[in-house]
Amino acid sequence: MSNLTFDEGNERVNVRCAGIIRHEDHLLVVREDDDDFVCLPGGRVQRGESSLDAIHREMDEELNAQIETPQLRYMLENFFWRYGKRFHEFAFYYEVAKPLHVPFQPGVCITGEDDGKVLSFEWVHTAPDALAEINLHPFSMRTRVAELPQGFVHECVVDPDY
Amino acid sequence: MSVDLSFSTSTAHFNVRSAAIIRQHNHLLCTTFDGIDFWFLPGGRPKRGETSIEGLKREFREELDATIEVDAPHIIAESFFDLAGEHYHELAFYYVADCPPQVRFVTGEDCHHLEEEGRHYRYRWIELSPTVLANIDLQPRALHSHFIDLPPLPLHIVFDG
Repeated sequence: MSNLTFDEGNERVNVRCAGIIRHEDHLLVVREDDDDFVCLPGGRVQRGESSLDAIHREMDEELNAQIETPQLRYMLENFFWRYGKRFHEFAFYYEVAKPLHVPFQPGVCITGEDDGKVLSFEWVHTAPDALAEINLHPFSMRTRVAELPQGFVHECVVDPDY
Repeated sequence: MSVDLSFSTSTAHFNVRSAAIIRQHNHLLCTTFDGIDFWFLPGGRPKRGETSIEGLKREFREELDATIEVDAPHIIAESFFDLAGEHYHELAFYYVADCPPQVRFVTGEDCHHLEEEGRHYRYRWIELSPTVLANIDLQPRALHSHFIDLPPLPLHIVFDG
């Protein structure tokens, strides 16, 4: 299956799912290769796949985790620049319980591999300034993970430089 | 900004759609066009760089010369269906909106017509009763019960067909 990613010139439309995994006021973030920013674990949704199926698949691929009952907390239409591309992204953020086998050790990187990329996971405090310091992308999630809504919230977030 | 969020391979389509749930006197505003035998909710595809809200407002300006006000979508639907032998994967945002004053309320006949890109569109108010909806092909069927009784909180739903 192919990813829901559609490029035209330097414009990209894509559909993504990510997991909000929290433990004791910390958030699990991931760095791909030597990126200068971190993201929430997750990935692109594929053709013919729902975001719900995708979050199960991504958590399995990235964390070897069989997750139960992920809860949609945010559905964001994100508009931003990255890698020299102008992104128009539909992102589904699911709250996911910490997988039992993922150790909670703030300050320690846990490395893994997915699809040829080196993934470095770490726990970061959910305070917005801590998430800004580690350069969490997209910016919209820096202020949205400490407190999660009941049900889910839909928002459109346009980065200032979009 | 000129490209619709509609992406196709030879056999599979992915598209994004924004639609309005407009209810009045226990009827729902629906549309269809010549050559198809089902109804759907008015709206259209957002374009690259355009939010689902902006896309919906633009479609209403273009199609009905109407201004609508919407807040957050009430239903976000990921659906998978076949049409004319091709596979579709659709991400749809359904916004509840008040009826714009330009759209008149009549029953038993079309309330608006439109020619766009060679298609003739008709708009009609369809009664929100299980009996009527059972006898008319309003897509998607999986949302009929939610059109009749709006979900109390925003709903995210995944379905086939």
